[in-house]
Amino acid sequence: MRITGRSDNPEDRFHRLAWPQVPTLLRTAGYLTRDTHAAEDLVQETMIRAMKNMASFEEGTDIRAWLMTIMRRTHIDLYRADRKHRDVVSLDAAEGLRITLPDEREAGTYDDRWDNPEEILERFGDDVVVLALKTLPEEIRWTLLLVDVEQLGHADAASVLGVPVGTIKSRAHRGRAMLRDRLHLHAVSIGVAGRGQEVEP
Amino acid sequence: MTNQHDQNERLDHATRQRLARLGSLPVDTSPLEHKLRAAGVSLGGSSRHDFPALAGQGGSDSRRRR
Repeated sequence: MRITGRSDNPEDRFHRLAWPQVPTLLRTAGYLTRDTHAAEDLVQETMIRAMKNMASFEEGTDIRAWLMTIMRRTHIDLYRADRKHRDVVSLDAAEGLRITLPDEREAGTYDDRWDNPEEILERFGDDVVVLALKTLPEEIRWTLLLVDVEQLGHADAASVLGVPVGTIKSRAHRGRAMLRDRLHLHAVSIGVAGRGQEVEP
Repeated sequence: MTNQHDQNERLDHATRQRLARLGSLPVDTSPLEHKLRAAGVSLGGSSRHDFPALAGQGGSDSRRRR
């Protein structure tokens, strides 16, 4: 979302530009944190910081990328330093995903368990996909949230995460493969697929 | 080799499409709105700023068959 050309004071800009992005921030925070309350706390602090720093937002750039950058820093400040509040969901905590993970699949390796991927992916509920997403390493998860879930451009995602565009592309590709592995193993765990086999209806 | 490349591209694309749907799941912003008010973040102006994503996004599509 590129915003161009209107001049108003920071408070008006906050309400006009940042406020409508709260659902996007809250959804993303929900995929980053352990529970709803943690997500709300994260977005609350993000919005307070955004309000205070609205004058630094550069018109013509993507407001979502600017807010996501603030939220990422806020997330680091609030949670990463405190090991008690690690937000990577463990497999034990993720009901329905009680599975043992194999070594990660090499990105680009042919995966013959997914001969009809569109149809197979439809069989997983949103709740299962979200739980699988939450088990991914944080940097991979951030990448998929920005690029695939919220559809930010690669350059904006790279800016948010402070890495080169090429890193974003490789992380996204690898992350999608890791997500499919999680989903496949979930299918194995509930008995609708065997190891090395396509998921059955 | 080409088939393998094509299959990988198809896998990648299908996964992107599945993830994109998570971006349209509805979220309840009401509790957060109360928290923001309590924290002194004004809703601005004389009228409430509605959240566009609250209106009918993706709810009916949020449960899928296994």
